[in-house]
Amino acid sequence: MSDQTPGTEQYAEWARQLAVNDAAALRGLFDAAYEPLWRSVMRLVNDESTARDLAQDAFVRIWDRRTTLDPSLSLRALLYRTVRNLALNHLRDEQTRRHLLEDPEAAGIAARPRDAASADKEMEASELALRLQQFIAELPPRQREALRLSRFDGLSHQEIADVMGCAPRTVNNHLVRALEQLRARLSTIGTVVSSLIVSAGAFP
Amino acid sequence: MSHTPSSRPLPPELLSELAQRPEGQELVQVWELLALADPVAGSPEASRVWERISAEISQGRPILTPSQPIRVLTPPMSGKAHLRSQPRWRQTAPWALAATLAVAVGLSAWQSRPVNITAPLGQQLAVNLPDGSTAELNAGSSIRYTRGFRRLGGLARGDRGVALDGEAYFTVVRQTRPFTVSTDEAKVTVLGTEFLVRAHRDELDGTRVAVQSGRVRVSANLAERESAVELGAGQGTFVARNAQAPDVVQDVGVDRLAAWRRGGFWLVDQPLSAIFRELERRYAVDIRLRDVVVGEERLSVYYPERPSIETILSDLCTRGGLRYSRTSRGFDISPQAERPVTP
Repeated sequence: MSDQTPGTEQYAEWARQLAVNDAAALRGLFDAAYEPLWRSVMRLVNDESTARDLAQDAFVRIWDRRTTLDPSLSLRALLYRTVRNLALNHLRDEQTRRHLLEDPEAAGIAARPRDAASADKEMEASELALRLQQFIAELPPRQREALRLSRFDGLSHQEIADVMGCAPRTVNNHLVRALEQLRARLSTIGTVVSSLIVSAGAFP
Repeated sequence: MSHTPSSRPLPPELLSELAQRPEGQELVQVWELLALADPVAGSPEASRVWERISAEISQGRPILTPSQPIRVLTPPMSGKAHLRSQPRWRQTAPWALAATLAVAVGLSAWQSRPVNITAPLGQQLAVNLPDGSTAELNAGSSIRYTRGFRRLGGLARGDRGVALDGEAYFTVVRQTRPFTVSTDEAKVTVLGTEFLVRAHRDELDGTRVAVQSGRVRVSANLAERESAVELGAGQGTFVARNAQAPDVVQDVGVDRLAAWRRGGFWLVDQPLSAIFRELERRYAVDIRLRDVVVGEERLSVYYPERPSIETILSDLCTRGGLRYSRTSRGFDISPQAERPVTP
């Protein structure tokens, strides 16, 4: 977990306060966790207002279950698990309702022509970003989920295990495999990558 | 590309695993490179979302729209005796008491008994529903709700369901659970939107639905086969009393249909008898017909600004060759010339 986010103790403290109906604890939890949570849902549903609704619903559900929270489970993991299930339900309903079988944006990325010219040293960082997003989207779902929760949401292995309902060891395996596959995909767009990493300054 | 978690350190478990692998350094590079691939854009609007959350967990708060003189009611949530049947809310009725009760009884005691709320004749009422949605009731209209609004731990599966007799304008908070309005003839299903439903048991011949924003789904209760229609903004439909399907979708002026929300009075293509009944509800008066036979003729009336009842009666009577006179409880309507009314 990164240093600017509240620690495990703070989350455990909020869980204890929530159990005794302390609405101020919900406010503290919200202030600390809402934005990252919203960003996390955004990656799943790709619609800001839906992401707001789902994140809102997740907090309300935590509040509804406040008296039966299991203190041994991370409140943060519970929050992410709740919102993840809500998002999956939403996506399923949405698909049934609107017969939207394909995310047009993802389709657009996939349809992008992969000519040699774009795999050039001049390739912009944004171009690379699009490729990376496409490669992430092509990962097996469990690997993709573990990667997003770890890399983008900054959840610990134990928290991810709680969200996904598996062992922390499995989380680690998912992450290693995901990184390996991404490396393999990146190598298909040329040796440019390692120099780009340097020029993009992402790698010290 | 804002807010990329560019400097997220490798989790320790992953780092020690990668350290044992020949290609570990490259995988670390991939991890770093992923900083580019977090494309979330948009606004989380935290303060607005927090407002909605507090509204939801406190079972709704008064909403006050200054332009509207409609009284706001946040019903107490326990099954108190005065709420079990249709309550008779009086002008200075125990608002303070009701509010205190709601707080005192608290969230935990919120029972899933049906709640019935009726806007008294001559008054309109804005009701805060437990999910943060609102129902503005026109005079003499009632709603009833129970299941679905209650969240029991994780068991919040049911629809948010409201039964309506009369006319109400709904502003529905978007949630993943559908919000439904049931009338004798029809069921209206939505996720989050604003729409009007009119379904007086004692008049019209069915249920009228008009949508201000969003999309709603309307189905007939008697439908044997799938016959629902979907309405978008500015569209309306009608489900007749014994119909097995809603009418063809039409464009409607929702602002006019819902003119009562701003004090207006608007009815389209109604028999005189229906207009009189609406006047009785809106102005809490008795209107008696003296030696008048109301024909089949249908009228449309539209008063955008808070008309007095006498303005409306005067216009109607002029048009129909009638006259009106005050009585202790309302008005008598009688033929214009041949039989003058003795007060």
